[in-house]
Amino acid sequence: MRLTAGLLLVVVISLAHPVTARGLQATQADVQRTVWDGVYTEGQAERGEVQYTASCAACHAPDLRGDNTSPSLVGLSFAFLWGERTLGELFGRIQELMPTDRPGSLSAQTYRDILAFILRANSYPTGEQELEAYGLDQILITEKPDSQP
Amino acid sequence: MVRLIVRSLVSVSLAVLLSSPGLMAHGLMSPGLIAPGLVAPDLIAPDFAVQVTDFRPVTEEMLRNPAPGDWLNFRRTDDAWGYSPLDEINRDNVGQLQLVWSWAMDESGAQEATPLVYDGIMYLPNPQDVIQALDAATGDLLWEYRPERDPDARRGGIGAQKNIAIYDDKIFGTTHQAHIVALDARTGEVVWDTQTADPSLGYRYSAGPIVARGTVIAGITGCDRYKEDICFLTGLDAETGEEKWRTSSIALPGGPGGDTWGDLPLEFRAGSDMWMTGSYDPDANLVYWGTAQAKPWARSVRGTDGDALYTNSTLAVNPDTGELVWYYQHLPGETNDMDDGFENILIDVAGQPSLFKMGKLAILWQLNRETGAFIRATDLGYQNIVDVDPETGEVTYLRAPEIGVEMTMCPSTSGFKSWRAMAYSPETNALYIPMTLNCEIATFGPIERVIGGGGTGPVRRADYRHPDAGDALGEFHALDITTGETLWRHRTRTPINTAALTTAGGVVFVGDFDRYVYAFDEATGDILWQTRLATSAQGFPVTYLANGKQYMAVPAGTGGGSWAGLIPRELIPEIRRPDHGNAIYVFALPDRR
Repeated sequence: MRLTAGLLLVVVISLAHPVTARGLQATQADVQRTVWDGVYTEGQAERGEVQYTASCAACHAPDLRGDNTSPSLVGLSFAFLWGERTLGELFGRIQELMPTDRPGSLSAQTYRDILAFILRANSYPTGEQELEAYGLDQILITEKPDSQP
Repeated sequence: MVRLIVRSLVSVSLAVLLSSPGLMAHGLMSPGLIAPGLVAPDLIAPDFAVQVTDFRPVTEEMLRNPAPGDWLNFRRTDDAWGYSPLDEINRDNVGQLQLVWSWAMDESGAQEATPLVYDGIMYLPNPQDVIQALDAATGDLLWEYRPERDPDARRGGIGAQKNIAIYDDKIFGTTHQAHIVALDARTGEVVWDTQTADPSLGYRYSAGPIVARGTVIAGITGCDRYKEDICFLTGLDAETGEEKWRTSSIALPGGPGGDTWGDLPLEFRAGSDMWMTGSYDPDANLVYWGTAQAKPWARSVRGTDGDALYTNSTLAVNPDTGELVWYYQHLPGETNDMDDGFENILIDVAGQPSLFKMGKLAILWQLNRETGAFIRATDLGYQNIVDVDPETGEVTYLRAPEIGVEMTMCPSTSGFKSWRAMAYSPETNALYIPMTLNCEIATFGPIERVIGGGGTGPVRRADYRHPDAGDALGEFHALDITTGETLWRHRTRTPINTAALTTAGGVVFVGDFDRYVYAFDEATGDILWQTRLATSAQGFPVTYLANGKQYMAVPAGTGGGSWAGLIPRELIPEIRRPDHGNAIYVFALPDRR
């Protein structure tokens, strides 16, 4: 049921918003859910908060709203940077480049937990399943369904 | 030089909150700026058993004219040349340099250190506010200042501590909790500790102080987010730590230049951070400080097309009073994250008392340092963001971002020039400029204009190689300042990653991301010596005498901003560096047999 709703939503979004080439590719081929479908758990976000504080907060700030050289990861900024892209793209970017002084140095699980914390900070709902290694490319970051035209 | 002392553990209460009436007099701080109950962490005094003996207090005269073998200021001398008159190591023998000692440094932050050396003792700023005194000939530790961290305190920034200062019998540092501290140069014990701003608002220091006429002067950073206060430069009494003056680096509504921010109220006038320390001209009695760009970066995002004084400017300030004597805004209303907040090099050229400054665009600015009058601009020719009139300094924007509109620009937001300071050689009349060359596809995005919001603003960015640079990301550029012509340039695959160091031996030193340290012939650009470190050469190399012998010290490490982070990772991923290894490496010629 949830899967069907997500697919319908993606169709609506695709029609309503021009998307980037990368986003278009993802939506057409793979995307099955959005961040509004409860794609992480509270426990995972809590683990991620600890890791975020240790590895990310120095640059992105404890409230995730960024610093002199690092963008805000919440609100308008997050929506601008990552709207209509998939969690897989965001995960890949974080794993490849972050933290900038030791990129790729955290475990894949830790990066996923941090991603869950970022999702919670953006008020996306929790669910029953944690973010897992497979399937991130099928989850789209998008506006709240109610705000869609 | 050193003697044993009894181990002591001293807790020093640091609940030093702002009470200076001078702050209120300037109208720059409101009562209650510092959060009630904000208490700095206790400090742990050195817990090992040596100290500096036979310490001779450093006088004003010594600071202004350092002994040839000392490195007493950030760039050795007040004029920030980064030049040493030592010539034991020279172009004929530099090829024999050998590692004498090395020392692992604090790993919890970015390495951007400048050692000070006085009377054979090296005073070494580590990341995260740690300061150590080492025997400069052997690397033996004499004392260490390591502030205990409040686990609940916000960790301020990447932890870089670029420089410290020395005067009288004290070492002065700035911290990531927005403190300025004075340590006993003999023992490392805290003499005074003054908090100048509330770190929970993001305020911190990443550049250390200078001392002029008994005043410790430092500029704060962390001014990017919207809050009911703004960025400032302060002067503290070197003896007591009492704040003598505070000067805003942002024009206040209703004050001089206040209309350059349009109708934006004070809380939405952000930026103008100071992340490099200043220079000093004792004849003019002026200190010179560079300010960073306005925040958010793009005009269209920050909501004003105005010049936004005093961002992206050079400020000339009276060190006794804090009076802003003149300013020069290099890029009015800067809008692409291209700040000029870097080192101020003071050189007399053809009888003109000049100040040289280069920002991210790799435009060399020459100003009259007594009046602030523009003299000349020399564009190295790599940037495509502005047209600058070399005769008037007038800037015309070619590329200004609009929200959501993709654009290309050279350089990327990393800049061609950054905190890796240039050095000047009086023998060649050249500046030696550490650079990285790259460009960016950028789309600037919006912010929330609310207290706590703001910041740089988001940018969707994709970096790419500069079309003029081939496979190279790094360039070490020797520029004749009398002609504006390139003397020579040396390209490297990875970014040049240290400040430059010039010497009377005809040798200029610099290092790169790919762990190499080079000694160049300053006249020809020939590589005379090179070696390779455990991780990136990164920081400010210095040279000095200890026991009559010349040494060259170069920091290495990680962090260091996008030059050493995003840029090489994205554009030359096949070259990697270890993600740890903060250290200092010290070289000298072999002892004569």
